[in-house]
Amino acid sequence: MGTIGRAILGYCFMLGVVRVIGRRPGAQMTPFEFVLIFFIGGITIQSIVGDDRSMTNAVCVVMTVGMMHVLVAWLKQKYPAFGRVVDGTPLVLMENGEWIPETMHNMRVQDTDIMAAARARGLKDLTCVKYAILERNGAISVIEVETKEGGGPAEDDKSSAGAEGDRTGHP
Amino acid sequence: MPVEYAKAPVEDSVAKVNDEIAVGSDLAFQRKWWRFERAVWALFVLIVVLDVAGAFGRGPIADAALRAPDGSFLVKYERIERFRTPSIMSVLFSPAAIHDGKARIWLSEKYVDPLGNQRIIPQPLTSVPERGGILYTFDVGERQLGTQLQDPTIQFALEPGKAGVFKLQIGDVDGAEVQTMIYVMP
Repeated sequence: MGTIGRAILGYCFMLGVVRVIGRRPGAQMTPFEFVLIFFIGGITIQSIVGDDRSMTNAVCVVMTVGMMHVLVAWLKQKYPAFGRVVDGTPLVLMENGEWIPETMHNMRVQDTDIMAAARARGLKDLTCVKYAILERNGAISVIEVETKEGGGPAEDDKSSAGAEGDRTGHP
Repeated sequence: MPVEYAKAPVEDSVAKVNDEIAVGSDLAFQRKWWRFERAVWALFVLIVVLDVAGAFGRGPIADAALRAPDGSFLVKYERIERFRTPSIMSVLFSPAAIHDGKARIWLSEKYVDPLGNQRIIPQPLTSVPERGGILYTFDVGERQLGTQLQDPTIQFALEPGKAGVFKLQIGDVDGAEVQTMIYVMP
């Protein structure tokens, strides 16, 4: 019973901490983020499991965390405001080729992060980027500047390889 | 019977930026969130500073000492303990508390049980249940009397098995007693 309570508390605490730390940890797994994720997980699990190393305990904790995940997903779907709190909303980092410094600063995103997303789209530099959007999962979607050659479609509205839909399977 | 869902037309429900790209951002909410984030960071820093200081145990604030009214013994302990975390409580006997090379100390059972007394160093000669607690007798030797040697010390290795607030009561056979509260953090 105590383990189940600690697992629920640990889940809520971890969700809160990861949320206030920012989005970068979830998506751009540089060594900097790896250290954070493994440290938080490793330290938390000790206090949740305690000295009960039985298979029963492990199974119950895993099922508890799984059900907490389902509950949070259901609440997000039922109450969009709750979803905004848990996941945040997408944020525009670059609009019409201009930086949005407020968002960049507060989300601690650097131009090199956006260039990395642009390169993943096959773009050579930042002047080719019209929109850069920080998705809810921390990925950066890039929309290219329209190309005049060939008179093709103005913009390709497909997002970069790291876009949220690609990762989560739902928009 | 499986539930059947009717198909619904796609609506352009996601808010657009410059009326050309559907992003669904909510900058007003985000600004509030950034303010909240900073408040939480400040709280985290405060908690860490308090932790380093020992407000949650294992630090200078947590360390405490109690002397018996007649000065016969001194108890050094942690007023803030942590759940399932080992700690040491020391009892230092003054020479006046030693009779026939033996020192006696009484601990309330209410203290011994929840704070998880793991072992006593050195081992007591006898442990006798008395007055709702346990009276321990230790052989500390005659040589301690009236000498400049360090006061004999008994150590209780603790590992609290419960979180909460517990009363500490320690006394000797002459009736000198000290009591205080011990906080065990979860």
